[in-house]
Amino acid sequence: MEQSLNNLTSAKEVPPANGLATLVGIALQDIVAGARHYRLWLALAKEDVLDAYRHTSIGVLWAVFSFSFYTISIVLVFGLGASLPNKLYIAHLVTGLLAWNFISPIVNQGVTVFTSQVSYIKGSKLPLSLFTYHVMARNLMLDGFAALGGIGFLIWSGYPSSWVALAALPAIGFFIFTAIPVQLLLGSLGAYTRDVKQIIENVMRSVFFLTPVIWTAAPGTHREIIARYNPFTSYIEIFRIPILEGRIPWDNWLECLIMTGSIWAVAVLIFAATRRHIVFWL
Amino acid sequence: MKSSIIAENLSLEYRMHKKRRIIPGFKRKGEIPLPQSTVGGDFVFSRKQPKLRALNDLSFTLEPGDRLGLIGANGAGKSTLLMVLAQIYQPTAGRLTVEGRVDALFNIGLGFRPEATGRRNIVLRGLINGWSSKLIAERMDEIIEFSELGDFIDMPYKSYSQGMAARLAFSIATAVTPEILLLDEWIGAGDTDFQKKAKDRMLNLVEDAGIMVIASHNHSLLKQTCNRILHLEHGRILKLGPVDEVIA
Repeated sequence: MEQSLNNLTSAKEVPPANGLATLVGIALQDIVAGARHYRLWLALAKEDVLDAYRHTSIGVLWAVFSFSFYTISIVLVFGLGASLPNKLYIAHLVTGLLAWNFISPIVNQGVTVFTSQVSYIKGSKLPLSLFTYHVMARNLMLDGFAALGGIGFLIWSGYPSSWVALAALPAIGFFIFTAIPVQLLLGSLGAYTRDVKQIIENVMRSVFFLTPVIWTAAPGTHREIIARYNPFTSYIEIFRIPILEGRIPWDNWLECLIMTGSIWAVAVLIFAATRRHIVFWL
Repeated sequence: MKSSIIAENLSLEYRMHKKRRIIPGFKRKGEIPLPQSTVGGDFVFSRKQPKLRALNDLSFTLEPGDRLGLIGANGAGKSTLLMVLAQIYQPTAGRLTVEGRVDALFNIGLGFRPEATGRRNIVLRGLINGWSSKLIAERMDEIIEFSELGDFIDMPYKSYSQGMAARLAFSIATAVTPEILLLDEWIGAGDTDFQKKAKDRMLNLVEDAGIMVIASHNHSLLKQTCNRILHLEHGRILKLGPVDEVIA
């Protein structure tokens, strides 16, 4: 812990770092040092979750209640009368919502991951990547409580029906692994220009309706085409299909691996180029 | 490890209020007039953009035992220099070599959470400072005792008065002696009794720390704590020397 801090903060010298390799090296050091501060970002995330439900009568159970109420409302409007059997629709919706409830805040809050932490960034020498881990952990915890409600719905609907459903767990790990570069990339761009926040907010609001969360991509319909060209679909499917169908969707996994790999590559490059400028852009 | 700071021709420039937009606005025709001000750094033109030169060609060396006081008018670059030394700002030109663990105490209230108890805030602040769990546990009682907060330590931070909050912040910030300590004008925590105690502790800390750099307008304090003074003006070194020579 102490060592990792030293690696980053009392570097032997601040060189006029210009070479791409040097910059990427420093960026990667930052990303590793951020991960090593896990006790800090877990503590900060825990405080955020506690703060959100402090002084309420049922505490974090509100998260369970909120998720359940939302689910029931959507089932009433879109589920009854849908082409799917009701129980399958509920399982489809719950798994979709749980995945989306993590993905959406990561993208939205990723844009402000640096601009919302001015006092920390200007007042301490913490690695910048730390804040991406913090946002990731906070949303994972909040979604985890929502999942308590979600699991109730799933069991009631008779899912999961096979042990293959455990393959949804690596998908969660993969979401975490993707959340970091997404925020590094959006956070760096969002610090550079405030236009990014407006764009992402607008786009994400529409993407929710373009992603098969509350609707199903029935084969042969226009919805199937929308789902196929929507990059978010694959991320939802790697979590959903093991639970619903008891199989591992290798084709979706391949797409996700390629996308997350590309996001990592671009994020590291952008973060490397912008890291030392971000403090001036706040 | 021996601590040292070597600054060679450090300069820091940044663009003033340039809009960074995705859709570019209309470009202004003609010369942009250079802003003028009697405080702050120098305004310079760089690639037709007005820039602020906050630090201008600073060179100095600090060795173990050095306590450097930074003085100068508002906007002279004291805090900016501290932030460069803390490696929060990267200098635009020049070289900075820092040996030793740097502790920067710029924002005394950093990271305090209003809803959490004082005890919990000690843990959080300790983690921010990079302390191990063991070190936090070791120092916990001593921090609480020094702050004299008593049972308030288990109440939410938001229930503290400003002075009580400052006591807690000061007690945590000075609980571990750093190799290199950077301070930005922040003495004056708590009531007179506590201030006396705080000053004694500061002096002890200053004696134990390898290197200290403190920015302040309080010349009598600097005389007591520092052996060297750096007088900044518009981001440049006006005077650098032993404490008695620079401040009369």
